[in-house]
Amino acid sequence: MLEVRDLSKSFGSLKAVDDVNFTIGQGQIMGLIGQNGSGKTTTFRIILKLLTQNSGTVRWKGKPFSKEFFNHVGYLPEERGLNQKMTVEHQILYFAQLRGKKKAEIEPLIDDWLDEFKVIGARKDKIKSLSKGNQQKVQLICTLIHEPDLIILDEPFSGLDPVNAELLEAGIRRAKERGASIIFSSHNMNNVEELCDNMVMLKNGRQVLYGTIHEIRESFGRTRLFLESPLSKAELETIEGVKQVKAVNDATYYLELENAEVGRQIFDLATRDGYIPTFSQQPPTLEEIFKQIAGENNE
Amino acid sequence: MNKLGIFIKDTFLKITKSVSFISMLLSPLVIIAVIVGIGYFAGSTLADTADVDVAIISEDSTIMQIIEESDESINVVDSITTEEAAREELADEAIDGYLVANWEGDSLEATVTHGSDLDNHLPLMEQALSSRQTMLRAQELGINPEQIQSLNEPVNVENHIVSIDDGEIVEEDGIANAIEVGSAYFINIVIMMFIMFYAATVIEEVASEKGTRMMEVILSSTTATTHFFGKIIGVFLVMVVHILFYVILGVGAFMYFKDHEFVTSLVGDLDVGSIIADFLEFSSVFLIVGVVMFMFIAAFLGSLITKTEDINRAATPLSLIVVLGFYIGLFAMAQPENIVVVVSSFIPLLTPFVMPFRIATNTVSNFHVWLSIGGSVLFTVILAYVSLIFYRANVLIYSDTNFVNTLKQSWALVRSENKASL
Repeated sequence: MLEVRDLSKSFGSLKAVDDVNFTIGQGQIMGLIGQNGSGKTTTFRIILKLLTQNSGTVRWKGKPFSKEFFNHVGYLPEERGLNQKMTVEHQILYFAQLRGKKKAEIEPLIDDWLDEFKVIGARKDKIKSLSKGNQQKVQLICTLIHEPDLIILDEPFSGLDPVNAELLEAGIRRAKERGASIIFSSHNMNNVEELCDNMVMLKNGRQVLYGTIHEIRESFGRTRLFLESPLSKAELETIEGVKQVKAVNDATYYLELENAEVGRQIFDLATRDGYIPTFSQQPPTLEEIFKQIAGENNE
Repeated sequence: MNKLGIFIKDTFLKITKSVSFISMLLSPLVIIAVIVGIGYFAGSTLADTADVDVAIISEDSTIMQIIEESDESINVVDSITTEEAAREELADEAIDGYLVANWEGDSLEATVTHGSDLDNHLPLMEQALSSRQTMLRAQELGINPEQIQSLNEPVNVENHIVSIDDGEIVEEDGIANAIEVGSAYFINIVIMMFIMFYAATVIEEVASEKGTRMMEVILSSTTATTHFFGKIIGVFLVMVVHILFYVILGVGAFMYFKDHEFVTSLVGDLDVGSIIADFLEFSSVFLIVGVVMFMFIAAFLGSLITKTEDINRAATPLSLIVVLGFYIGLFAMAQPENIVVVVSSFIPLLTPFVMPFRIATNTVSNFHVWLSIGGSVLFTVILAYVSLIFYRANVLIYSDTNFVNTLKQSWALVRSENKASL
């Protein structure tokens, strides 16, 4: 279990990370979201001891995180890269050995992993002969093959096509099933919603959201409504508490409400004559929440 | 295997298998082979050992004998006894030429007719004929062979090479001096080549991992110190193997050829062992200190780059120092007491290039030599320490601007890290 408490880090006058707190349990996946420059990579680097925090603690299984745990870490940095002159096998073994694995332990696993991630290329091929997407998959294998307990992935989905993104998702889920604690950052809220148990959002280094996806969305209230009923757009717009009405298709409208209570009033109106096909009142999506918070001015 | 061992092993194997290392290792051997080949070929052409067939027409039968004895490559065709027969044989190219030698009173008159094939043999023939004439004349004068020998005894000329130092004539030991000067040039070139090659190798090793962003992953698995020293020790071991290869080959070649005529004539009665020991005493220290010093700078420079394409740019400042040192070294040979030379021989980065020349020209005391070595070692330790501090920060900084800016950012990061860890 990874526990991050009151973490802060400044570079000169810039507060890059400001009082960040979260916990990732065994077999849990946490998403770290935020705009560019919000402190995600700095947070990762502090956890990995690449940077030193000004205050706060990082604890792993109850003990301060130190180099004795380095062998249990799998880290994929945001900027990707492998040694172009090495063979696939050499590259994988090099990193695995640096995580304390023996050559003989990893060598028999390489073919299975290359299959699992559908890497096009043989283990004796030079990295430079592989396409960019395949290189990225080899790097993922380097991050995961030693079965780390703490996996940190910085923007793992960037640059992957939907098929490869799915392979990565499957890889992450397998690690979760083995009981690894996983944290990843992403700009794609769909990935976060699909994969994560917990989520943290950073803004200018400060933690503005923390909780399960469900909790966070619900905390914003069910202010989104999909409606298919006899009511016209004009009629809907006149109802008090309706902020915006958008047509999804000919019959369905998407409404933004001031608060969840307005939904009840609309339900009564829409069902005056009985059955309607669609009434779905939902909290805002993660993407909407992200945009809303990112757009808010700093207080 | 611990992680330091992994870096050392990986670096060592990668370099020793590289084309650039193998060509660096073998290039001196190829050069030596070419020089020896040219020397051998030129030597054999000069000596012109090709045998020639010569007819000798003379009433004096001893002439035939002395000519044959004087030059092993002359084949006297004794079946030809007349000038006409000899001419015919020459025309048929059955012989290379003929000598007609007859006494006119007490003078020996000789004519050699040939198609210039005997050019290289003429001096020996002339000498043989002259000594025959001398002998006969001496006999007529009643001089015995011992007396002739004493008359012919050459004058013994001793060759004293001196140097003029402040109006004083100073005796110099020719061969020892030549060896010292030669060694100084040799060591200067070797130090330069080793520093250039191994510094470039360290830059390449570090920069390829920084430029490809592998470094961040590596440093999340171990400490910067382990990586830094792993790379440097790995490269250093390659250098040790490199030197050992030449030493073993050199000793082996010497053992094999030491009784060879050419080597004994060259070495004479010199004590090769003690010369080599003298030569290695300081030079090897300067070589090792010099290379290690530049390796630390190289690791530091390598960690500054952003893209692997910048490797050459990173090597530039280093090459400038090496070239400067090399030229001051060459200048030191001509003017070992020049103030620039004296001062630069104590500047750690230049010491390895300049000090060997000051030692070779005997213009420095042992105390000063040790002082400069001590200074260089101390400087190397400080360099390692400073490089390491920056190394840890440099690794995280990717700047598309110049090195100065990268360094500034790195320094800012070092300071904020130091503040944070207080």
